Amino acid sequence: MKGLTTAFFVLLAVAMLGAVVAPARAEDALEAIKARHKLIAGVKNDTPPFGYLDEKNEVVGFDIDLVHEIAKALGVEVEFVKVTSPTRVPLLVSGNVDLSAASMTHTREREGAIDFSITYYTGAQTLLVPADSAIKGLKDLAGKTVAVQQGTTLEKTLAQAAPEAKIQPFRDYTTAWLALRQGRADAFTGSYDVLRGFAREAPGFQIVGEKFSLEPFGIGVRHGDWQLRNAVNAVLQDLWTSGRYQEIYRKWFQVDPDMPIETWPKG
Amino acid sequence: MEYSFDWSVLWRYREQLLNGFGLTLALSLLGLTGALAVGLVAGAAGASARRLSRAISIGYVELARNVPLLVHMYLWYLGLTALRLPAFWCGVLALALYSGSYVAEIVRSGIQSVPAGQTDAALALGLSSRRTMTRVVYPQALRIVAPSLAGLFSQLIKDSSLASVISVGELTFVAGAIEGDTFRTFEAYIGISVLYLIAVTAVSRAALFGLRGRIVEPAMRY
Repeated sequence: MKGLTTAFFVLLAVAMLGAVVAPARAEDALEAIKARHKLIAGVKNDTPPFGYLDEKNEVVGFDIDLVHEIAKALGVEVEFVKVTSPTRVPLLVSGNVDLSAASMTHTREREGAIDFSITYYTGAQTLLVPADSAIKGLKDLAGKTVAVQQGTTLEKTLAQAAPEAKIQPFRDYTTAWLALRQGRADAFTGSYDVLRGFAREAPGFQIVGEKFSLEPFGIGVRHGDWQLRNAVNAVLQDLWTSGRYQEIYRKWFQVDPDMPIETWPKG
Repeated sequence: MEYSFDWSVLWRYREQLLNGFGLTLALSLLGLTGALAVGLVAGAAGASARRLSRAISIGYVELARNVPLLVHMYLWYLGLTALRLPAFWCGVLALALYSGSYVAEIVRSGIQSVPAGQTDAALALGLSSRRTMTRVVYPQALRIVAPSLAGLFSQLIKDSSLASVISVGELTFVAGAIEGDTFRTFEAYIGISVLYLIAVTAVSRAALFGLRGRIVEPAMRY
């Protein structure tokens, strides 16, 4: 009886979900964007400098500037929808946003759920520690507590790079950062540029050690939206050849990009 | 929608899901025990004739109940940093103190709903005031509040999901991890919903049954 009841509720949940995300789309997202003259993009608002809220409470950042460029190249307006880890994929696959530029690392596993553009940024993982810490690099992490955002490639990479470290995953970057500041964790691992953003807001912390992984970021689109993905890829490549990408990069990271965007021959 | 469900993800992550389920149960049961302990005392104090007891009880209930549970989690986790209390126990503490205030209110109203004639009769029969409470008033009050407490317990299991924000690896936390690894958001959260459903159904039934059968009946000897 209980099994039956459970099965019923599972079906109910799936049915409700189906009802919410129902609107069937036959056309490519690119056609939909052009038809409504607007690109709807999912972006983060808690990950400086990729997507965060400025003093005017508007979402700004590297990801946001790139989306503006994509919209400009397509000749359409742009609307930003704030996404979080639990909502970024559902909002995309349900058609509420056309693409997701949310500092997402492209992995083969994740390709099962959505498609990615070419790499538009390559992050490198490092460690942030208090300035007076004895930790100088990966080798000093044995037995130390390291805060990290959960479900990220960062978490897995650290587990391989420093198997002796005690990894403490948090649901978001901000709480992991708080844990380090409160002394709950001895170190905090993350993308170099993200850590730099945090370190700027609180003196007394420094980035140490070598960069120990590469994190290729991709813009997410739905499976099947190959026209949109091609368009995004083309815009990214044009931004690189025109030098506009490098400008945006310097604006947010204060240095020249160390990894070029791959460019394909026009034909 | 352009999405094909892949439920095999849940099977691949079965070990983490089971661990998470175990932690959710442990967190809920310990939180529940704590909530009962705090709530029964605070509830009895709230119904007491002594003004000081009542004041302390009201103070606790208002403080604990009017702060969101999410804030409780952060407060005990970050506030007790100096004690180096593990995140799990901070979660238990937050759940016990927060839910304890609801238990207290339920217990207090239960005690006050026992007709005054019962107390008068017990005292007239020569029972001491302590025995009047423990043998006559409390047992009847518990019977009255049993359904409300059972409801509160199922609430507590769902509330335990908030411990995920302080990195307790319970079910909701595991769903977040699966989502991060695979981007299979629907599968992960529907999967844990089913597990919550099972846990809440089982526990609230058991609580109702247990409260009715075990706590109330012995009082009938008198």
